[in-house]
Amino acid sequence: MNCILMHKNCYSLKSLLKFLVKSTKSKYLILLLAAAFVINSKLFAQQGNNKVAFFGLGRAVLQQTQLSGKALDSDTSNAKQANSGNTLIDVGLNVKPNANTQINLIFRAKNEFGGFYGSGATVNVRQLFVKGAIAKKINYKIGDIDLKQSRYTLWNYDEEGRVNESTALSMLRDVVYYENFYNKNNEWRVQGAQTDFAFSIKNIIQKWNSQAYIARIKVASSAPEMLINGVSTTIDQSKFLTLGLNYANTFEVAKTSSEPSTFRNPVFTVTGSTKLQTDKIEAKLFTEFGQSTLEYINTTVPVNLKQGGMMEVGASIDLKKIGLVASASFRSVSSDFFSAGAQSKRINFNQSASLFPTIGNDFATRETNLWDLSRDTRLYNRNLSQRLMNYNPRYANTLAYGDATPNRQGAVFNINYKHKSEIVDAFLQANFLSNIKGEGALEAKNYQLIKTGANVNIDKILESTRVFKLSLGFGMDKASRNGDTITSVDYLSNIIDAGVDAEILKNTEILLGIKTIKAKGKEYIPVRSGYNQIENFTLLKDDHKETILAIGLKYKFTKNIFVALQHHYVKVDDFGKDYKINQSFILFNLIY
Amino acid sequence: MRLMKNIWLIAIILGFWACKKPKEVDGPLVTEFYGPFNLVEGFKASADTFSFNNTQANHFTAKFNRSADWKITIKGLQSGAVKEIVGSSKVIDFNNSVWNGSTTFIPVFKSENCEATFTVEDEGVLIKDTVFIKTVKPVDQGLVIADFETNNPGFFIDYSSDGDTIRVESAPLKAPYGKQYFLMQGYDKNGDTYLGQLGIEAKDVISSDTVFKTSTKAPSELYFNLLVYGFNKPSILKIQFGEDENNNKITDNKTEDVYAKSVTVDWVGWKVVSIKYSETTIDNASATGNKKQEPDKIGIVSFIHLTTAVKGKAAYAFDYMIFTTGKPFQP
Repeated sequence: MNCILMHKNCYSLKSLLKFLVKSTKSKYLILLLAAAFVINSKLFAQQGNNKVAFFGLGRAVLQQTQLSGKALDSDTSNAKQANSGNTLIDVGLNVKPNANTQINLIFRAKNEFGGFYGSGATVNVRQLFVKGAIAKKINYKIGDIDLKQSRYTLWNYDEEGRVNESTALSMLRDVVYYENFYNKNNEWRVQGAQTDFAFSIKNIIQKWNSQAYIARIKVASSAPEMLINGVSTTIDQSKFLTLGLNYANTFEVAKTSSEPSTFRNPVFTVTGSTKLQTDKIEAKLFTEFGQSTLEYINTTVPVNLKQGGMMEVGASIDLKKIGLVASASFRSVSSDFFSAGAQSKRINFNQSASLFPTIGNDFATRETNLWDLSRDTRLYNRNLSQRLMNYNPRYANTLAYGDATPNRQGAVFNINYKHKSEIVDAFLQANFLSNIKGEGALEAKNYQLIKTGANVNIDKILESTRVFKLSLGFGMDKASRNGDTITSVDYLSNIIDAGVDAEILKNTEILLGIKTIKAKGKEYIPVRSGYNQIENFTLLKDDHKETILAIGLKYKFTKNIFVALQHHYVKVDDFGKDYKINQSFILFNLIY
Repeated sequence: MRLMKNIWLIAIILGFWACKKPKEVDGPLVTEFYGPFNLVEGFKASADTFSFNNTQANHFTAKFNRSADWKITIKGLQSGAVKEIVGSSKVIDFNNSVWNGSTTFIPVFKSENCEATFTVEDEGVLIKDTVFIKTVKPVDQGLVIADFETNNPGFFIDYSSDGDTIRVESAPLKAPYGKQYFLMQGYDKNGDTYLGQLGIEAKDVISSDTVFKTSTKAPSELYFNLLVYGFNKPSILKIQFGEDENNNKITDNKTEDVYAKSVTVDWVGWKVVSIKYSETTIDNASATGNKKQEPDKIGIVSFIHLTTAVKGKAAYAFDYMIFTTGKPFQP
């Protein structure tokens, strides 16, 4: 019998799960259960039981926000102040009934401030998966899974609007990431099943890794159910040569709704790399090339099948003693290349902000700004999109859909430097791209995207044990096109990020952050049909500035528990019509 | 190292190669939307007299040198009825400007002289033509669930603590059909944007019915229509459809699906609002319903009155609620 010790009582796994299922009928029972788990977690550790482990997160945020400025001078229709916040606890349970099986479950209890006596409280299951190994060879995972393949098949690209962002401004962004299941590995959180295995063939193949998956990414409603399946395999033939294959197919399942039309989007790419290395240097050649198909079936109007291709070839060099890695590559992604898994954006620009969504007596939608993007969970997308999502060229124009942005080709350069004593780390990315097909004109647009940044750890220079860090970042995104007064394009956006983290007292840091963006010029933004075809252009004539200043204190109780108090000042100036946002917030965060 | 130098050189050459002029264009040319605008062929009605009791395609014609956002506004000179036809194209013809005699802003057209005005607002174009209506359009058929006249259903009303005005009125507005209409207006005192709601159950319309006897099971075929009067106070009208999945004469929003769609009422005057059932979305996703749109199981329709902003004002009136099949109701 699988026996789980709980303090001095003993429950079977079956009875525990049965109890959990019953308990979900009452949120109060869940809260009690959660509390019991937290209280008992120490006891588990003390007793050395390794079949059950507890983990989780607790968080409380309380914020007061005010809106003011010229844009609101005669506004009598909208609220100018908002108080909001919530407390939540995620109680995670990792059960190992045997050496090859794991059940992972996270319960969430959340209470919105203002929902008194439990009226704003919710209890639900945040995460549930089972994983294990068949015959100790083939790993599997069923339930909530995180998936990624290559940058052109399945990849959750980082969102726009930040270049080496300060700690002060990224604090609430970390909350957004946690809430949306984003991680540093650029994976998409989906529900389905995944398996992977690895083997080797002596003297022929050093290591052969493969993974396969299937996941449901949209339930049937008025549109059919949407699934994604795929396979990735990587063969390390030797330490000199690696070959790979990626295949991802996003498709709708016919007859799962009354809508007869469906779409399918298979994408495959081949990867390869070869390298030479010594103790001092590693030189590498790499490539990825592939093809996508986009097909709409049973549509009321005929839609042509679209096939697109991509190709990337480059070289990199790693000067190990200096700590410098540099690469140069050529990339070409055709205008018809479509990959739902790689081109879906994190930010949903069709969604209005949670705070002050409208402005003015005509209830005009307040445009999402950089500050909203740094803190508003509602603006973020967790689903793969079957068409290219809208973007705002102020924040990303050259690579609106990451490296997989269609209709771009040109040279890409990257340099990363890390000082061996960790005093300085710095990076430079430069993209010089142009259209493959003219976009609304025969003349191609040329794009230049440069991002650079550095972190200076002054504490390392001073040999201090207290944190003293300076962070800087700068980005320039430029689009231009020659032509007459109608077709010409000239659009420039500059973003600056800077910040200071200084531990003024033991465990107490002062945080400063600044972010500015200036966007000016003329650009045409493609408007796409439901079938992903450009059918019109929106003319953007922009003269826009945003400034965000952040100041705050952070007190660390332990490495994983902190409380922070911050004030943010935001000024948005659009053709001289400005508005300001002032927000003070307290954030308590606990990871256990 | 020589190899690496050569690779960098190749990358730079490829970069320059990438800057070559493309020979194809993705999408239409921007000049089709943003170039200088000229009329190639003037605006006119396809005939001097329109009859709406036959298959005659009554329409308008015009041609321009590029695409533009245009609007045709037809006004009954006696009735005051208004029909608007909008489009974005280079050509106006029977494909995009057929008029079947319906009305955008109530009242409905009579047999009368009408003035048709063609405008391209961005270009300052305004051209007028006249047309005579010989025979008016027959009234669309469907399942009328409320007209707020003598056949008033025994609906339920929920008032929020804001004290919203929710009642049948006969003045000051002129009802589009009959003499009475239903008014909802108020101010969001408590800051939750909710003002109140009206609910109509199938048994209120025909006492022996537990679900509305719609004539289709296909969500994409069923339309719910009503006439809505806007007061220039942007308001949200959320329409909910509760299904009785197990035919037990109760629509339970914890165990059965509720579908909804919100409409922002931001116009002045009477206007038709039509909702295709397949375009509604689930409103109680956490309930244990079957998550399947079943138009033949709708047991209740609710009208929820919301403001567009916290502590805002909201007002609208509505009348003549009707389910139609295959196409939206056109007065």
